[in-house]
Amino acid sequence: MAEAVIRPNDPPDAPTVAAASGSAAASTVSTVSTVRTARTARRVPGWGLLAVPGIAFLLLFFGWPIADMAILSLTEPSPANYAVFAESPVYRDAYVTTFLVAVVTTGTCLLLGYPYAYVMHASGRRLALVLGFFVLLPFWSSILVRTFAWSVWLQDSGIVNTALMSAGVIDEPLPLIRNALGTTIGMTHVLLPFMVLSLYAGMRRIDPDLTRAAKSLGASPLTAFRRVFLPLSKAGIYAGSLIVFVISLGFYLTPAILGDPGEPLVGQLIVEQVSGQLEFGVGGALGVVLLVSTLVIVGAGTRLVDLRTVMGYEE
Amino acid sequence: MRDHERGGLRPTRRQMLRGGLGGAALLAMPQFLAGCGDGGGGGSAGGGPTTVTFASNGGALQKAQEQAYLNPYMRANPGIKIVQDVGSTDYARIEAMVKSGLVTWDLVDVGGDFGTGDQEALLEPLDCGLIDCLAGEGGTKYRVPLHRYASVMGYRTDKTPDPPKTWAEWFDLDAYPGKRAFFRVSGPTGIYESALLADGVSIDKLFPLDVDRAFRKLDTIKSSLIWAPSPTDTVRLLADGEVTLASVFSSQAYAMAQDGAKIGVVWNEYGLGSDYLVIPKGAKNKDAAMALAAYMTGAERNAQLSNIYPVAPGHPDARPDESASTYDFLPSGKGGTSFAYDSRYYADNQKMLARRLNEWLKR
Repeated sequence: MAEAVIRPNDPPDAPTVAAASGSAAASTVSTVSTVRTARTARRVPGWGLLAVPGIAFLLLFFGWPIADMAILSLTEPSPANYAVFAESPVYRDAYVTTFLVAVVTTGTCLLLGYPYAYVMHASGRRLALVLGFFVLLPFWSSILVRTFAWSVWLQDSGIVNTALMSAGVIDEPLPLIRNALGTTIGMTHVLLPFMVLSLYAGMRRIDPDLTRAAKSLGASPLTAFRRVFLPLSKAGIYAGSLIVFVISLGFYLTPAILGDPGEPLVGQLIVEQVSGQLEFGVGGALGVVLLVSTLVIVGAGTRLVDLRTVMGYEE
Repeated sequence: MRDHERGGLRPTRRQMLRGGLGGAALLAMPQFLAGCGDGGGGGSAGGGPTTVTFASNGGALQKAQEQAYLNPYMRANPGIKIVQDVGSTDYARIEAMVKSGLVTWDLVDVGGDFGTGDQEALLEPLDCGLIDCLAGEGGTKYRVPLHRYASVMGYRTDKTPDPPKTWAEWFDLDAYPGKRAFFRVSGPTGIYESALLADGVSIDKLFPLDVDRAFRKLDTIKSSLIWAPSPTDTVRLLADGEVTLASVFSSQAYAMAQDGAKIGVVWNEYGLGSDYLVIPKGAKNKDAAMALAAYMTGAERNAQLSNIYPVAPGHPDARPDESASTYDFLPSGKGGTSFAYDSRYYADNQKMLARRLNEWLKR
């Protein structure tokens, strides 16, 4: 039952952090994979069975815990758990903050990740390999250590501020930490690989002859990029943004260390409830509301963006 | 409060330098061992050694406990094998174990914010004929005091040669310009108590806490406060020069001072909290756990930990060695005034305190 909500004691690497809203991520993923399996099954009936272990895994380790969390939120001790929202504005505001931070982080990852993925795509195999290696490098150290390292850089007496002050650029330390900026920097660092890899995978599916054809027909390189390449890389943009956005919603360590203590994210409040106060029910209620609001937002997003584009099917 | 004095959330600088992977491997190891022990030994029935799983909160504290209690106990009792696990202050795990019937811990080191009131239902009653349950502060039939830690005023010995003697001075921004750090948690770490003491409340009349008054006092220095995400951080912020003063756990100040940081603590108006040993309900090796608890908490052996780790004994008759390097940092035999955290008050008001702190931080 603890897994349903959060497991604060696990080694804090990226997938675990995602587990706070693993609920949200998982169900999105499982919806998507179900859609996909159904389609695949129609085309190649026998092969569809290969997806059964994956589906069983998701149902057992994501589906059931999520259901359990929803049940706990109503029964541990009663549906009054949801009254927590009426009790204090802290909870409602945390959702607004969480979604805003997720949007900003997704945007930052996209801005930084797109040129990076483009260079990976446009360069030779060897450079692409080196760049890919650097993208994956952060996965080899724990998120806790990386976040802590950021606080050493960003704090008032940190490397950035000390350097700027001794260079005479600023007199007072810049507020780089314990605010939304710190959270965004830390989360972008953690999530950038997801964005870059999604974008790169999307770009690799683009037929290079199309850009070449555009240029041979007289388009400038910029026009060819803007009119041909960019629209075709949409699938990767949607996929990367969806993944980064959904994972963002579950962060709690990074905002706890780098963020504004007055503006906690939902993940932090869930940890406080479950681990600090043993309120599995209230923690579950916060999780269910996060899951439902995520589904609503992602659902609204897919009305604008055909999910099949994200999964690589052409419209 | 999850972390107490030993701070689970954030690595110390030394651990940090050593690299996260090594730390993660070390943390994972006892769990792996505990798993093997449970699977292989299966309790005392098998005829092999009896296995007791002891859970504490990892880090330097647990290492010291191993050295002070567990190893000598195993030497004296060859029939007993103690395996260790970490994460003991994650009380959600204890609750989940008891409710699911899969109790893998036999003896657990918990903080003062656990084991009273409704939570007694999660615990085995102790054999108070064998264990000196009620001798120490906050001891009950369900939990026995193990050691005591202190939250104190911490300062940089090189930068603040004349540190504040009282919380009133600590709150005085003119006398001590610069920022101050608290550990951000609703549990007993001294946030409210220090504000009330600074505002003139008498040290023996702190509880029940006048939370409104505490927040009014905290308002006066709000913009100069930094809220550390873990107790280790309060000391690190001092060591880095990020803050001038901090409210710290003396044990962590000691650890950082041992690492070479110029950190001192003021033994006046300090808060005392306790760790307790509990046995989760349904523990597989209850009797062996009782015997180990009696050994660890008895007046005779209890002070052994204090000689290598800066916490005071939980048993009032246990006496730490005054020549040990830890002595300056442990809350025993010091002058100055002190108060004990009212764990019952915290257990009853934890939710309210958490909500109030969140709301106050937001304003």
